[in-house]
Amino acid sequence: MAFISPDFVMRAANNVFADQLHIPLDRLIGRPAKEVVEDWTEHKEPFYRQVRETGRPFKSGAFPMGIKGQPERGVTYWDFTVSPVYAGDGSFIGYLLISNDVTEKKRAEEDLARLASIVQASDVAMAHMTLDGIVLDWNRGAERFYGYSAEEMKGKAISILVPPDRAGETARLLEQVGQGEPISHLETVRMRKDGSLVDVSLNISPVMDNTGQISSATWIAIDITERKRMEEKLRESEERFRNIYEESPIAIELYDSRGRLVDANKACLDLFGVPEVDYVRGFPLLEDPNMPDEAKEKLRRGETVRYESPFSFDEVRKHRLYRTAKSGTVHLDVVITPLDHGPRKSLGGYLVQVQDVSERRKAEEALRNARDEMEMRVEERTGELAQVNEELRREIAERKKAEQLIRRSEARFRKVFEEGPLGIAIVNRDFRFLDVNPMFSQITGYTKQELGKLTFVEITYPEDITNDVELAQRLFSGDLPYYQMEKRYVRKGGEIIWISLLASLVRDDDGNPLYSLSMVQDISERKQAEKDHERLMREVEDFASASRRRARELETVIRSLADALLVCDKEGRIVDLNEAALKQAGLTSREDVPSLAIDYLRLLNIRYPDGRPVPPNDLALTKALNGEVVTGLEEIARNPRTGSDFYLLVSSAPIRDREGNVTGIVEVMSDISRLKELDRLKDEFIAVAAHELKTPVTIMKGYAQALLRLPDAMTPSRRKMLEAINRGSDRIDRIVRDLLEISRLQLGQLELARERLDLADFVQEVVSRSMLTATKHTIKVARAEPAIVRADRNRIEQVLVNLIDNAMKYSPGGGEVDVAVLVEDREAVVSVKDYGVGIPRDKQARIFERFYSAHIGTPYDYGGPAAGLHISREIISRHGGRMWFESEEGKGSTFYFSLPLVEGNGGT
Amino acid sequence: MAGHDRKSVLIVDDDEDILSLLASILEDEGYEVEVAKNGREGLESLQHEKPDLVLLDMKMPVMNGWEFAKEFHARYDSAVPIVVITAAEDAKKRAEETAANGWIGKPFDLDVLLDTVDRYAS
Repeated sequence: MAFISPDFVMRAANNVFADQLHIPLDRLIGRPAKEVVEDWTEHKEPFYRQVRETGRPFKSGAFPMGIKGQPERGVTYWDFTVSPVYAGDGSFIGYLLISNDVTEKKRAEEDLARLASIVQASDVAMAHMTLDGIVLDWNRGAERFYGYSAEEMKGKAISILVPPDRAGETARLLEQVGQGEPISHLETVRMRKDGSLVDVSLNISPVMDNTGQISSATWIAIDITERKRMEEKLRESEERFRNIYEESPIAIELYDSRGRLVDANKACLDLFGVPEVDYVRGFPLLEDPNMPDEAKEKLRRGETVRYESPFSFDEVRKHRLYRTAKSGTVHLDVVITPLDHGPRKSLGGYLVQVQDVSERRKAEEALRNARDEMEMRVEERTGELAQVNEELRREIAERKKAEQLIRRSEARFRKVFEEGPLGIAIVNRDFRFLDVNPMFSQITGYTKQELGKLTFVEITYPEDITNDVELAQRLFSGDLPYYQMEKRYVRKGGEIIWISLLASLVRDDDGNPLYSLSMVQDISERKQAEKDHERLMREVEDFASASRRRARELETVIRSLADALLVCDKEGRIVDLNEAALKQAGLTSREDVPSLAIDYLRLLNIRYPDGRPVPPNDLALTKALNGEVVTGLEEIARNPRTGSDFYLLVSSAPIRDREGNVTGIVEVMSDISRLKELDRLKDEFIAVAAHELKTPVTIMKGYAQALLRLPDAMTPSRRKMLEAINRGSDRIDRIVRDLLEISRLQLGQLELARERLDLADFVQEVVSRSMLTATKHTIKVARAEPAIVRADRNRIEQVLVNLIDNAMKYSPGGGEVDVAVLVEDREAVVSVKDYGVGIPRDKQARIFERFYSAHIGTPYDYGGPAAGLHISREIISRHGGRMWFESEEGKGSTFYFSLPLVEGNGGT
Repeated sequence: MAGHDRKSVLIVDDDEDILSLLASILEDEGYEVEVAKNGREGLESLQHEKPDLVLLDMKMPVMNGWEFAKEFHARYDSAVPIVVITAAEDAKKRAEETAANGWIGKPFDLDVLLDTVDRYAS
């Protein structure tokens, strides 16, 4: 709260105000507002001027404001009310500013709105629901995902998404959430509007309300159908590939890109008489002496090669290629498919399929021999031949079938690798990337070439390295068949992303780890959504707890307030009241409080200080409900319990919402009986003391006069002494009379003996009498027509004499005093004008105050209690008139008073 | 005797200095003065002799001005004029309340006192 003078200087402020401005109180007081607030003159002052012009308070919403010298605070927002403040005589003396720094609240609201819009627009399906599963909010992501619009879902049960075979699942999940346990990454199945099923990963978190109770839940669903399908497909493909490889009756060899043998299946080892794959590992394909040179050429060009050739184990021995248990020569049918053409160059090598066709060769040879040598025995051998033939056909068919199977599996694997939504990387035991697919490049931001020079450790976020390396080591050591984790990559360029990793081991024929197949999914968006969600929840919670704290503080303030406080809604129903309010109405319990504020006030029997009951429309409560601010209304109330009257000082103000509509009122009633009683005691004391002074004054004055009547015994100097005593007595008498008069006014004992009076004639008469004692001044009277009033002659004379005495007193050089009587619309106005010293501007506001002298300490200080103007104004106001003045220092003053005219004045 | 021509005044006031002041002034003017310190003493004095005028203070111990006036009127009707002499602001009102003939405010001007006493004592 601060008080600002009409020239916009901070004149007073409380500590809260200074604290909120971050300026010490002593540095605030006395400073012009424009030195405190940015853009004061352009943007703030107009509101104040408006308040002064209209006389109505101005209430801002959250209003942006910069505080000078505090650029670090940025724009702050303030909720403030400016009210005009008037002196007792109705003159404007400044502004009351009640302000509150609402920046935090405003920012929190803005952040909330922004976050809410992010959530709303998110592609990730999100919803907010009650603990019974009734949907409160349904975002765009959810609309797209499930096919239900927000309108369709709001107010509906979330359980319509649950497929029949999982009925009851949401209820169970929400019960768990209701106990404060969030659900994260629960993989389940949901049904879309069109009936299709979808694999989802659910995250459900509890939301607390203002009281700290879990009242609702937020829900995020991530579509994992694709991931599931991919995983499934890959698994199938890989399994099939492996099955075919392991179980195939066809010998299969795998060579790396340099043509070194890395693996061979069981059939292959049998065929070549090798007990273990280790015996042949590293065997160079292109140096196989059994391979025709023509085939080698074709392989170098990257073409698929097929040839049939005899294979000599003796050659193997001769060249010491590898150890073999076999000897002699077999006939082999060999198909070599290079795997290193196209974009998969570094995947490694060649797929070699070998079949021993010696039997077939034998059969063919036998046939030939038979034809050549034993034509005659053809018939004989026909059956045998047919059988061989049959075998041959079967074998060929089988071989073709197996080959086809392998090709199909491989194609599928390749398709997944090339086009799948998953990033796939093949990582060797040194953690190097042997190969990656395009999606992996897209996820990491590195090209395949760049990745070829890197290990996965180099692109892993430092904090996640230890964990991943440990798991990878366990994988390669055969400890784990696969592992799954969520980790971060540092993309090329430094961006950090979250990924979900599924790494599995690929083994060789003997079960030795070869490399790891890593499947990677970018889950940054999901992570971000989770983080946003967490932050949103935290901010909502912070905001709620700040509100709760403020509410508690306010409650404490209200409870401990000595003054009675009443808060009502806009219909005038009591919303809250404090202990003091209960007590003053004689109530012991809140249950006894009437629901309507007006009934509560009826209990108090509210009256004006003069005893008249206050009509309902004039109650501060009613006025505040109509939007008026009422301050300092004095009333009398009765405590129904004790039956005793007490004085109340009532203030009431409307509570408005952001749009300025009245939503309720707050009324403060202060019991000022003690103050009133003190005031009365003081006045009574003055009356008694003044009366007691009169007796000694009478004695002094009496003897002085008695002595002065003895002319013979008197020297001139003794006469002067006695005259001085006489004058002194008169002065004491005047002071005593003023004091008595004032106390009578305060005690309400001033009685008027009113009679019909022509004010014009009466003024003339009084002035004539004053002229007799005026030595240096000329008093002129200007009057036009009769001015009939009802007034107490003696009292009006007292006022007039006081004004004329003042006029002469404060124009000590002598000169004119102009007195005029004017008849206006409904009142007669008397003016007394002098051309004297005038009243300094800064003292003008107080001259009607009791005992206030504008000239105290100046050469025009004539002593005395300076109560004349106060008494005069009281007398006039009790006649129903007004008193005012105009004055300019050095030029003189004009005092006016008005009295209401008797009806029909002027006609007579 | 000259004493028979002199007007007499009974002064009723609780303040001895006021009594002395009024007595000396009026005696100097040739009045015969009786004094009483309260209403009761005043009534006792009246039993012996009726003065031409009673100067009556209002606030007094034992018996105040109002009680004195009431008793006086009950016993003697309006045989002797009464002038109230009071420190109260509204001396005229006190006079009306006590059915007195005149009033003088304290402090008073000597001329006003002598004029008033002269007027009602004649």
